[in-house]
Amino acid sequence: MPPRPSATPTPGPSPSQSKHPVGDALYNWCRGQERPPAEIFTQQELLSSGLIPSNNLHILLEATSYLVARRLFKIHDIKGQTGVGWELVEEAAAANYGGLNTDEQMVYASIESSGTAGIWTKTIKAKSGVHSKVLDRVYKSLEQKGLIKPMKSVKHPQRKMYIRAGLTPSEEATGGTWFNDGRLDIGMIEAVTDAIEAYCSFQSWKEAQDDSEDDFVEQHKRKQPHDGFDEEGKGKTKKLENGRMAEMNAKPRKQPRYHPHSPGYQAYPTLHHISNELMEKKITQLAIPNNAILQVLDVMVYDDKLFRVARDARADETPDDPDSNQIWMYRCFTTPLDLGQRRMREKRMRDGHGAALRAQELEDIGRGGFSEVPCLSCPVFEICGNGGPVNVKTCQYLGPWRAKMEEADADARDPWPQLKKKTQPPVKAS
Amino acid sequence: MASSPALQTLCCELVEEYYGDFYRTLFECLSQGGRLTTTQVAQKCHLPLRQVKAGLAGLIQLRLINHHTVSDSPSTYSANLTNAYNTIRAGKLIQAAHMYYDELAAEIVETLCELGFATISEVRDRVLSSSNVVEAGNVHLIEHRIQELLEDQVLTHLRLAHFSEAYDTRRDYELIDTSAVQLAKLSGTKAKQEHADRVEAGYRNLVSTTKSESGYTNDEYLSTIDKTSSNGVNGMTNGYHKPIPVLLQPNLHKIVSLAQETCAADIATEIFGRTAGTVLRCAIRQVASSNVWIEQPSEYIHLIDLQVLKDDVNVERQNQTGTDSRIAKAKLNGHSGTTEENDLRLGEIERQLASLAEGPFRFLSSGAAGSSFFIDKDKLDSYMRREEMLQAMDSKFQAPAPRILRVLIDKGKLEEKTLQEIGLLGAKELRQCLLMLKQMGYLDLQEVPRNPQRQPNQTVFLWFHDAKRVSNIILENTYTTIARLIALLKLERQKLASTLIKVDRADVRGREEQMLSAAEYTVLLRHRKLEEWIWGEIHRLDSTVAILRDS
Ligand code: SF4
Repeated sequence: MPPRPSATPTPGPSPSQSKHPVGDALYNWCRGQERPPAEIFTQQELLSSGLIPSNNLHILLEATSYLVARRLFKIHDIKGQTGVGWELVEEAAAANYGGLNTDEQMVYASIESSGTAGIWTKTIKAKSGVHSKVLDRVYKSLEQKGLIKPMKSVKHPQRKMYIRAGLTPSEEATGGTWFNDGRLDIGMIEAVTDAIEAYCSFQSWKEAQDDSEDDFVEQHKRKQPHDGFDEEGKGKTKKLENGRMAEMNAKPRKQPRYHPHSPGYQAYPTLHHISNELMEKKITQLAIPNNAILQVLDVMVYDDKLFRVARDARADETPDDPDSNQIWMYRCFTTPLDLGQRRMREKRMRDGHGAALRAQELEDIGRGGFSEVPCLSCPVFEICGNGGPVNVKTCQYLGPWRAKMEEADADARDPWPQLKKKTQPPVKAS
Repeated sequence: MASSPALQTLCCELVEEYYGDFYRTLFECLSQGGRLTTTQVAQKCHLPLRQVKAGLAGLIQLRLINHHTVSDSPSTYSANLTNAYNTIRAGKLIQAAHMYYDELAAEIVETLCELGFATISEVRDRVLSSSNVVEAGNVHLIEHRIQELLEDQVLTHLRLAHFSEAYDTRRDYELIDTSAVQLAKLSGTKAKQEHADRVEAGYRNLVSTTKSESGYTNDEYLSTIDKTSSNGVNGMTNGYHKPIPVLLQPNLHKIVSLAQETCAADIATEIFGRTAGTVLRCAIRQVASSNVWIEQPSEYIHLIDLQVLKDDVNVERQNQTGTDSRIAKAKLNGHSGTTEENDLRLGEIERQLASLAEGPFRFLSSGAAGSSFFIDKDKLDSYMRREEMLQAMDSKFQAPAPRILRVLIDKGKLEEKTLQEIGLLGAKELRQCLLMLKQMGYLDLQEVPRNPQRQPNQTVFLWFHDAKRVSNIILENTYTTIARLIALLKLERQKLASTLIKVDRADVRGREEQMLSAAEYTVLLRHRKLEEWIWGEIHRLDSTVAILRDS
């Protein structure tokens, strides 16, 4: 289908347009200055080029207008000064405007000026004042010409946004390393987190050489009864002492034992070490920038997987906290052995092993006063009570909980006495 | 203690559980009605006045209600929710006495828990008549043990002011102290402040348990224990109250410090091993303020006495390994001075403390030379509260809620976008989780309009976590849960009523296996197992209350 004629057929810069020698010379002079991109040339600077005869402002105006019309210059207001400045545009970029109608030029200019941040279609509409139907046509046309592309911003996932075709959206828009197509890459984060945790764990503990030392952190860190009393009714802790996990421990396997480094130890891993480790292990295909690793480390600290310890930065290190000249080290309080077993348990849980689930539950409630009573996580907690249809008598959750208690005591080799099953009277043969 | 409907209900359930229906009726009436006279209680409960008076006397003896009398008007009574709640802790205190002292100490504490309060001679006589661990006539052993329990604040003196509401005691003091009366007449901020300080000091003096009502300090009292125990009445007066017998009460607040030290020790054991856990437990014990009535020291940073700590740790280790004759070595604040071959040396204790100070225990710090260690009591309390709260939230919510809560606790108020960036969370998942947490009261939202029109698109929405409010929510839920567990116990007992009535009979008690049918006996054993579990859970929940509310 032939392209529809535009309502406003104003062509862009074309070779047929009359030449302006001063303008062309000025453009070449500006290119020769090799200024960083997007830097502005002031009127004074252009006059100082010596290309404007008698420094005539009229000629300068003509030349700059010629270059602006050909999209080789962009006009800018200069902050804090009266007057305008001009930004140099590459010829290749200016050529993109060739063959665009006015609407398309306007829209493309907006999109181009937004750079790597991209621009929301609503903003374009507000800026250009063009009807949305026309705009839709323009976007389509620009996309077909390969000048723009749609993009997603993690901050505003609902918004329809565009960016200039050859650009990669900024980190702010994509969300950075941890986002893929505007979505959080959970798989990658988990892989990196696991690798960091394992590395920090190995660096935070030393393997014991001598079995006789008594302050080793025990396998599975068996817990004492939470309030120090070895009383009956502490089924959970009893379970921890004697249950399946203890059975696992009882296996005569030679397992490494760990103890913490001496106080004042200064070699816990820092961001630098962790970054090197990730690079060495090639956890991801692309190198992960340090700020992205730092982001994950912060999250791991919040998740209680790592603990931050500060030390003075050495001369060859960049301090994490410049005010105090300190650098952060990351310490893991889970021994490598515990970590391995936890992962195994998690895997078994994912595979649907009930025992692993129970062991995890016990691990979770191992310390502190909090309890596993179902009421605390009950969905009808607020409406449960005397007088209502939901109460202790009619509760659906206490029964299974009771069965769990019984099971836990059985695991702890302290089973509840069982009621004898009633035997069915023999059916008389007819 | 701030009262709440959930706490009121729980206290009523506890009174019924421990002391029966009748006391519950009276207690419930007072807890709902506030301050009432006997006649009002009788009217509200539809009970005869004589019965009400006897009931109220019983409740006063059990320290479950307060009373107050002003001249020319009838006495008024009000429920004491703190003491009613604390009945839950009696078992733990008895067990602690058994664990750290011996069976005799446990019997003494149990007697006092049963009686509410008593004179020393009453305790001695009761223990002598019922005990099977003390030989008849060995009163000195009992008195010695009472002395130790008093020293370690497992028992405390009971003062007259403990029977009244704090407000009433202050009012009474204001009326009696002439200088306070003079100050009250003056106007001006300075005079008002002086008046308030004076009343506060007077109040503290009246409720202080370091001396008995008759004016003895602990030491004076203990040196004359023989005299007082023989007649139970002391002749000294302090010019304010008539001479009264030296009264003792169990210090159920002690459980708070035990819960705190145990919880911290568990965390340390989990991270650094058992020895470190024991060291931390003993170190915290040195700084614990185990008496709710005693004035808090203005200086909260305590220097740990390493020599005492070493002795405590070694005794504790011997207890853990089951070495006996605990009483000779261990006391709650004991200094045993024993040396054994496998005892920890001072250097090892210092090493453990240094390791702990480098860990997550921010309340523990080491001095410049590294050979002195300090515990900041304030930081310890807030650390324990924070840990307990996080634990409660972790067990309640699935990921990513705990992370969101931790970020907000750490950073304060944040916009959703910032939260998303810091927490590495997907927008949809975060939004859902935030709304769920808000609905449950764990998070709040603050609106900051950018312009006076308060347009939503011009408004910044900041999420934040109000720790005090959340702590109250957790406490309320915990009270309700304990009440439900007690209701469950009641229900289970109802189901088994016929068997339990039989078991209560004197001829059956202790011989259940022979007297009950096999099926009935099995059901009874199963019921006992269930009770054990439920009480275990209740005590676990009480530790949460102890740490979140009382520490
Ligand atoms: S329904 Fe059951 S689990 Fe839920 S609050 Fe009521 S008693 Fe507790």
